[in-house]
Amino acid sequence: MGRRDRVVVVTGASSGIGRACALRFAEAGGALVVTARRADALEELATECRGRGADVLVAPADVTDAEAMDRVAAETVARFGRVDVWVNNAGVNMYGRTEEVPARLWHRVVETNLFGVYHGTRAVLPWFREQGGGTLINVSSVLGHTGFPQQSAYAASKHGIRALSDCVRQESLDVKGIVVCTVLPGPVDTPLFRVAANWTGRKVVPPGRPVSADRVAAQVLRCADHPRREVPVGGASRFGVLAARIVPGMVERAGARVLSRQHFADQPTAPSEGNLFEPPDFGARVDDGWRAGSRRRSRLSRALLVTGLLLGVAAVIATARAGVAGQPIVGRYAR
Amino acid sequence: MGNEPNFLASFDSASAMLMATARYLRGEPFPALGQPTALRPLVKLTDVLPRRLRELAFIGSGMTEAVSPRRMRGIDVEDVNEWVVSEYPQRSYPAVLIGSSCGALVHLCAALGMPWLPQTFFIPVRQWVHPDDPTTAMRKGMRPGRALLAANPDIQLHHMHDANQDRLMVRALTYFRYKRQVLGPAYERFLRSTLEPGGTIVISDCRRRWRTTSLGSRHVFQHGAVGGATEQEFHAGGERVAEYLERYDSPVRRWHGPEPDSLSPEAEWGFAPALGEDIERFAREHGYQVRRLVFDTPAKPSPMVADLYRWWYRRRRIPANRLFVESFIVLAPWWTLRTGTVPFWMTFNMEPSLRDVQQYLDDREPFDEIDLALFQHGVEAVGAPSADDWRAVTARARRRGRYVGRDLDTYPYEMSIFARYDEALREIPARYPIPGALTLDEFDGFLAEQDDYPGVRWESLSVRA
Amino acid sequence: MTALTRPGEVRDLAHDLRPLPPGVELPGPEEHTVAVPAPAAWRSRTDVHGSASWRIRGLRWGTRSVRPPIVLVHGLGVAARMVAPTARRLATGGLVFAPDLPGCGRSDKPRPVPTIPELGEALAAWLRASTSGPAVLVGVSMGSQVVLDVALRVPAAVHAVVLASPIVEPARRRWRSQLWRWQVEQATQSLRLRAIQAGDYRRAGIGRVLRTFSSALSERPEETVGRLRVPVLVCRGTRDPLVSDGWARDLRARCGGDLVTLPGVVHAMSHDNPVELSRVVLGFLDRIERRRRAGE
Repeated sequence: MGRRDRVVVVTGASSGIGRACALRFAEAGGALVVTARRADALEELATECRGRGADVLVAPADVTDAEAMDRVAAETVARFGRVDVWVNNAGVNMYGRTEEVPARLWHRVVETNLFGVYHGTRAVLPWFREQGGGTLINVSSVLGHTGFPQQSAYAASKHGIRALSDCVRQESLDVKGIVVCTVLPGPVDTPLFRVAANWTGRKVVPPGRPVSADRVAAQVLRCADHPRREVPVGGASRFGVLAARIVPGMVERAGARVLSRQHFADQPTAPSEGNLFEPPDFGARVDDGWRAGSRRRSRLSRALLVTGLLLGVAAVIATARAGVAGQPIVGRYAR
Repeated sequence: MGNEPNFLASFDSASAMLMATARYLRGEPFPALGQPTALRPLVKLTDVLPRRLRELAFIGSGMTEAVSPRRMRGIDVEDVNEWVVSEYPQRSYPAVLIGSSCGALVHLCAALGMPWLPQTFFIPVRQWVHPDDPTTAMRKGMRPGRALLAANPDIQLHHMHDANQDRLMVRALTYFRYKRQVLGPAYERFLRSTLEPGGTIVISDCRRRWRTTSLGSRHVFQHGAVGGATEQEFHAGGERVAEYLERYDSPVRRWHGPEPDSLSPEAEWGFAPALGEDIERFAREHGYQVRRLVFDTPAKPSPMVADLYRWWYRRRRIPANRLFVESFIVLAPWWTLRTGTVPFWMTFNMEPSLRDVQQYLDDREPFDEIDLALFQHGVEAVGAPSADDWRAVTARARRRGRYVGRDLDTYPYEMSIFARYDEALREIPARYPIPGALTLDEFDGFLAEQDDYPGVRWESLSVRA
Repeated sequence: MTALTRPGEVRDLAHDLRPLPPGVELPGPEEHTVAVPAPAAWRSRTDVHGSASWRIRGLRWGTRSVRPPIVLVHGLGVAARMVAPTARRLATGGLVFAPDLPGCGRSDKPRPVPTIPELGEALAAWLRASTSGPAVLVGVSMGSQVVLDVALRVPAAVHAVVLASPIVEPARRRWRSQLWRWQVEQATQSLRLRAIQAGDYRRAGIGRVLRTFSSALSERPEETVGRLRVPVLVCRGTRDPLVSDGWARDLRARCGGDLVTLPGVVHAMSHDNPVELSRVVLGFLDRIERRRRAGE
């Protein structure tokens, strides 16, 4: 099936990575189904995508609603006869300590991120089976491999997405045409940081140097053309995933110490539920301008350097202690 | 960080509270009243000294800070402001507190993540007088005072003489407290560079006043100070004063100070309104909001701040069942938040403060643990409660109450508590992450949920260009 | 025989479009033969007088169904086998017919070769004889001209009309243009399809194929489609050289129906893209049902 004949569904298409994916798929032609909560944002996106040569169907839906996802899949095949690529991208984020954030927010993050992917997956797989194939692309994160302080709901759901992808891949081994890919972006320049629920009292800024959403979208398209099991996006996340496998304890501590300091600005903010329950009336776009500005760049490149150095040290230590397995992690709880 | 100007007393409410606030905002605790922690063992050694020697140690520690009266005309108080702003991290703040010292507000600053720029500072001038002769003290302070005022046109000087609590020091030191009448270049620069556009200047406006004797347009003499003895007792004497003077072998049985002829903001705590006008002008010119926290005496905001911490902890799902009773400059903003402890600040260690804390405990559901950190000043002053009175406070804890020094029986001579109070907090096993700051809106929300706090008003001023 | 919808079952809430459950066995066809009277117009053209009748053979899948029966009408010169892959899929939810048009496949081969309206008249008679309730007519390629004719003759017997790869575009109603495009279209066909097509052409005879197409060139579907009073779905594959996007839009606009454009789907979609065609047909039926309920 050529690129021009592809039917693609993207969830969470109103902003960020989803929007970037939609635009890129539209560039390639074919048919596109965009879904998110905000109908107006989708209509605007659809106009842009049609201008790039795609046939676009707008299907507003909330990924937390399993039946709505079933309807999106059914509408897609009723309109285009087929669904070739399904990108489970919709995601929200929340910052705050596990014991401090309200439970309903935590639930909501997992509902959207993990259940959302599950709902999309269960909606599309029967059609994949019927047509004998299809590419399922789930957008997880580097946090699907390692943890991060103050983002337990997000990291847990992203770990869950990876596990879900792996299980579905195993389950669909009997249908050769079905492939499941997991994309692992690091920090990406999207409105996510701004619309995330925040219970920390401090403003959130992306850690390290965020990559552009378009770069992630390019990787998603590459997956659609040449499927791979797991694809980290960008050198930093590739390194992060690798390091998380070799020296998980080290990466954990580095994340807790270095990156968490980079992740929050010294700017107080009131607790907010972000876009968890209601979509925001702003930010229906791909980027959020985090990559602009030289001052931030210098600060962030320093952060990246520190991380890189730490991971380098980690790698050396890993080599040194090869063979010494199962060491207990000594936690430092108090000063 | 710059160095504290050497003409300023560090053993004072303004500089100690400033350091406590700044250290919190820098993410550091405030051990040993901001003094070098290496001195701790030395301070603890004073426990073995007999009472007489301890008194000398108190005097000695004060004497090291004294400034010669000849230096007065060379002092530029702008150096102080430069030091103040250099203590704070240079970052963006949504609000800045300016004005009166108040220990409870140190905790409010910590909670709201705002720096505090003091109005009042203390210059200890070397000058030997008999503690019970306020008139001579006033006379001796006039020349250096005028020299200081001549060199610094933007301040007003409050010469304070307190032979009660400061009996040990006042014989060697003349208490010059000056209050800023305008922000001055350093404060203005700090505000312009760190206060967010449209940010809020909060005025800490303590309305405590004292009857004073005018010595010039910007110069008053204040006989007495906020503490155990009442203003009336300073001016007119009384039974307790006579007893006290007898106890200290004084040749007099009451103080004969100069006749008061004016009412001024209290030297240490009160807010001089001139600065308020300058703040409003500055805010108008730069588009800042101004809000005013008005309180009748420095002790009034304490219940509000303690309740704020309780409310905040509950919201963060931290059991707010531990109370840390602080007094004067024994403060631990970082450690209270780190251990999830509710701070209750007392102005000093005298009877009015005892009543304040008891009143607070009467009105609230009981705490499981109460830690008491008493300031020690080395004088059995008028209105000093007994050790048993303080034990009654710690006894009100449901599970465990303790005095965080070594031995409450040596009160008020136990200098070593200054080296110990933060160690006691450190012994508490609980550890919670230092939270992000509350916003002013959240603070408003908290106040809206509460009943009014008597003696505290939270006012918005409409400052429009 | 596997029929998912058993007799007496209440029709699901507009849910004809469902993915086939894994491992489901697609139903096999049965022979279905109906004799219809020869159309009057044809009779007047021929020497045969009296009660001439045509035997229309065809295939039938499934038994009775809650959903309206679906009739798939094949294209030029070919026969029911051409639509069988789609029919099998549609049959999992109910009754499906695929008649061989007279002159094609195993049906009678009347001479002279019948025109499109004559085929329509015969198929209308066949429809009345084969089904009890209104049926869904799916015409593929030239079959769409026949179903248009049928739907106008017997509106009461028609539930909805699907025009899959409808021909012929007004701008291309010339032999030269059509031959060129037909040749391009052949390149999109699967080998299996070509084998079937060759067999069917042989059975029908090249002369019959050319004559039928000549009749198809004189039809004006853009005019007749506007007279339809039943829901219409126009269905076009993006890899179909015979049906342009503009033409499909024009047809849709004239009848106020639905249009689906299927990416990567070829002209002979009933054979080469049965999954896509059956899905859009069922999705269309669901939409009709939902609209009907919403209108109630």
